[in-house]
Amino acid sequence: MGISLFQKSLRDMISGMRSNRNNEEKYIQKSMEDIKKELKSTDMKVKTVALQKLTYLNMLGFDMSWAAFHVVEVMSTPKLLHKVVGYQAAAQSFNEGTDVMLLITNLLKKDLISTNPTERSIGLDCLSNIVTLDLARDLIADVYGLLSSSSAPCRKRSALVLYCCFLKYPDALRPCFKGLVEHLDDHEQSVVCSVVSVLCELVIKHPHNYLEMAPLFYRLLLNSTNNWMTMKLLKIFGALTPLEPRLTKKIVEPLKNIMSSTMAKSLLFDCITTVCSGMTSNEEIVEMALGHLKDFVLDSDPNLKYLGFKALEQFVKHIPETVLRFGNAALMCLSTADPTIRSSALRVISGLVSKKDLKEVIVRVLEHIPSADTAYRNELSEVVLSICCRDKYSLVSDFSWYLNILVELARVPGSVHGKTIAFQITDIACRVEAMRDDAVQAVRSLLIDPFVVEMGKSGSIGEVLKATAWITGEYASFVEHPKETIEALLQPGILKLPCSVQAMYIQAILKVFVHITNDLVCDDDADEASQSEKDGSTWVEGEDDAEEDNGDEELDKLGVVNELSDLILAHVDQYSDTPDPEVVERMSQLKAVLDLQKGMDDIKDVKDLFSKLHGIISEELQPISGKAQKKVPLPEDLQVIDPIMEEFFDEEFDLQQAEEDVEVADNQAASVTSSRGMDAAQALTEATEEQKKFADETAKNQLKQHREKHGVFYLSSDDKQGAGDMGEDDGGEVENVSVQEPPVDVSEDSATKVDALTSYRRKKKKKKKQPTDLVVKQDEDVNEGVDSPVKINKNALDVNPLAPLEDGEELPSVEAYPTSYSNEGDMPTYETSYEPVHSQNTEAPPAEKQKHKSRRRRKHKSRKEKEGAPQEATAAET
Amino acid sequence: MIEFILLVNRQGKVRLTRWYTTTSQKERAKITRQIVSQITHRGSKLCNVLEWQDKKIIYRKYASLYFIAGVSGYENELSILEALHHFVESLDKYFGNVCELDLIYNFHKAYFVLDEVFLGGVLLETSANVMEKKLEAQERMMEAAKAGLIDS
Repeated sequence: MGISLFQKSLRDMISGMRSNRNNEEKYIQKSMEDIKKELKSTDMKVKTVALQKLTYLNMLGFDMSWAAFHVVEVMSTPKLLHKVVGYQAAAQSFNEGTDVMLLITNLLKKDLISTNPTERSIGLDCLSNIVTLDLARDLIADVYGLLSSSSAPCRKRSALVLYCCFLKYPDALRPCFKGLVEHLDDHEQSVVCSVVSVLCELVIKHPHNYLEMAPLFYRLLLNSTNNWMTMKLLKIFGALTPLEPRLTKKIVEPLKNIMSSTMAKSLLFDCITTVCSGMTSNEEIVEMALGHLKDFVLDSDPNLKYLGFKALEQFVKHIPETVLRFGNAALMCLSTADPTIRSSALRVISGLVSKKDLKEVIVRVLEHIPSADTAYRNELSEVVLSICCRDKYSLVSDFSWYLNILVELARVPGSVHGKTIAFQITDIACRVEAMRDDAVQAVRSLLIDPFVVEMGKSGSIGEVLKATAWITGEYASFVEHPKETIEALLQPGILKLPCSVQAMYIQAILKVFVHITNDLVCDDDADEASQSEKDGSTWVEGEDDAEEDNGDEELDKLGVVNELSDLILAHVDQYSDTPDPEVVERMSQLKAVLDLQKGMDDIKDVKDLFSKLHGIISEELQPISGKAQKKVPLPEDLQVIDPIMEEFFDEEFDLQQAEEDVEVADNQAASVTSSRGMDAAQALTEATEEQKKFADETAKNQLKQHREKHGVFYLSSDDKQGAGDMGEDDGGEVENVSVQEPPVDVSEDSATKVDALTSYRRKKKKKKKQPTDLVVKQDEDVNEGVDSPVKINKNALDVNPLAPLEDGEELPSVEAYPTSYSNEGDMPTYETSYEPVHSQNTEAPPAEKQKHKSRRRRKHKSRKEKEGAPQEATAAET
Repeated sequence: MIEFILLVNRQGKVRLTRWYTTTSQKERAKITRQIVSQITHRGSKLCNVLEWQDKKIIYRKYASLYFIAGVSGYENELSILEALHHFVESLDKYFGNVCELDLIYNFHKAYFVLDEVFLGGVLLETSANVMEKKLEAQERMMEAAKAGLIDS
């Protein structure tokens, strides 16, 4: 009582927090200490208040996992008012890793069968929030039982909680499904609605399993008066119609009615999405949907606008030709302030653009770049880049134009797409021979612009500059202003660029220089005319006079070359401080070439040198067709299928062998002891044996196996085996290792194969061994992360719930269910639940009949429950 | 389905949370922080949907509080907004002109209302009238229990 008098109530604590805004941390610390003390109190009231305070703090982000046991204590008090606080705390703080979870199973069970509706509902609420595989398995029968409760709210709740249980424990879906579906005929509309919600979630995940229920859904759709339910049903049809096109005809009429009569925008939107997901073949309904969609897109409400574009995105994916008229609206939206709408509009634009209007669209998209913020600018650039390079630039007809667009994009401040731009420029220059001249001209503006080089310091524009330098060097024959280009390549700003870019720049200088010199000095008389035509107007002034006298001309040429090499030598030393070895190496390479040239007085020597150098660098990088390899004839002596070394046999070959060698495997002991001269076949035999061994072990504990395999432990045990062999093996260590290694890989592979087959068995075993396995399982959870069970479950829900139940599967009944389930032992019925849909479909009874049958079954079952649950439990055990 | 529901105020203080998928405390804190910072910086004239990772974040601001729902991709945004509004109306009926302070001091009651409206990430009760009756009954019962408790 002492604490109780001075205990701060929840209200006090919250007020305290509010009045201590400046040192809230400290206040919370203090409160936490109080709570810790109060939780130890024997007075339930004190404990409860403390827990409530703790729950509040937990909501703000403070840990309360340490108090899990106290939560259970409060949960198990008989007083509802206390209990509720406990349940609230559990719902908020328990998760799969909570160790006291086992303690609450019975507690929840008691609530679920309680006669007090509040207890039932808080039990169900709590279960829905914290359900784990264990809880689901132990309580599914009770939840299922509540489906036939007389209280509508309870039925409604249990239907939804059943779904939560399915997610964690998919094996329960099939047995419970019939009972669940029966409630589609519940006289209480809200129960029907919640069952439809559950079905909607199930159908969306695996629609193919529910196709035969379409008539039932159709009937519900016709009779539904509740918009919420209609929306769920429309979603169901949206998932089903793509799989069964004939459904389209059926639901066109009801859809039309809904669309023309409803006032609710949300319902209308669901109609539209249903139309575009699977009914695009029906022009009339598509037209109608598009008519409504137009209102959405043009509406001033941002939400409707956004949804309009969202739906348009879907239409663009399926039937882009019908929504072309929205292109302009989408382009108009690019100037809106809402990033979500803009992104969606951009996706629509990207889907709608065609070869014809590409230029116009791109220009209109680019218009927004100057006024946009960095993120939006990048988004716009990305869209332009992805539109144009789509399907190997299939939309681009004018590459010269596109190269200029790319250069423009490279200048966008803060761009993060430098790499893509660089790639595309290089790609186009390589692939399109006719574009090389344009490419060199286009990148020139980047090359000579000191501002761009400045930008290259940070961000991804450095990549573009690298590509620029490469193109200039590689296609130096198209360089129109060599001196200017070399000066640009030598500008001091480059030192601030990344080293790889610097290296590319130096390489480009070398290439351009060699090319120019070669052109100058190696021109034979025949070429001269054309050469001077090409370069004449732009090249150095001296050339005009050069033609007068051959000797003078040659001297002049040499003078020009010298002038250039002086220019380069004067600047190239700026790189000598760079720490990067590649830059320094290329620099000295360049200098060596220049020095060589400097030392030559005779133009013939220069000619000789540079024609050779030119020969080295002028070989072009050619694009290669993806099919080129096929055209190369296969050399007769080439054996690609035979393993190079025994241990590298491929999986299929190995598996085949594995099957054949099952009997041979028995001789494994012999083959191991006489490992001398072991050939490939023997290695395989051993592999098979290993495989078998591993298959068994995997079935027991695959995860552990995995870790051991990769961890130190496994290797050492393997080594031991290896050492044993080595004793008799004359082949030495290397050979031995090569023989020993393959089983590791093979078994890993076999482990995954076996996994599929034995997964059911393993599951069963795990369940059986549950109490003893507990420690190991927790260990695994820590390592594998909490998410792993959820991942497994996602696929596990992919079963056909409409197929008749197997022998092993029974309708869950209270008490008996868990025991009888584990009793069926190792019966591998798992695969059989994947039976083809048609086998039952052909004579699948219409919904009515099915319903009838299962209702009888349910009655039978519930009677059993009432009468003799305990007896049944004992019966099942014996 | 709805993966989580969050109520935060303009300063980013959490007033109510409910997670319908398995997430660790750490992850919850991280997601909350990221989402709240994005939403509280959004202008009032923008649309109420955010695309975030593989989810959609749908929110609406009521007075000083943001009601936020994280939902799977296939959900209808408008219906979620309506569901949130339905929740707000239910709170309003239960508390009578609800304000942020009501939720702060009675967070446990707010949870009641929340659990009546949503269960396991699905809208549980769609009828406002039924809700009202139910919440009234609940309130009466809790009062009775409280009275009984004080007596004992």
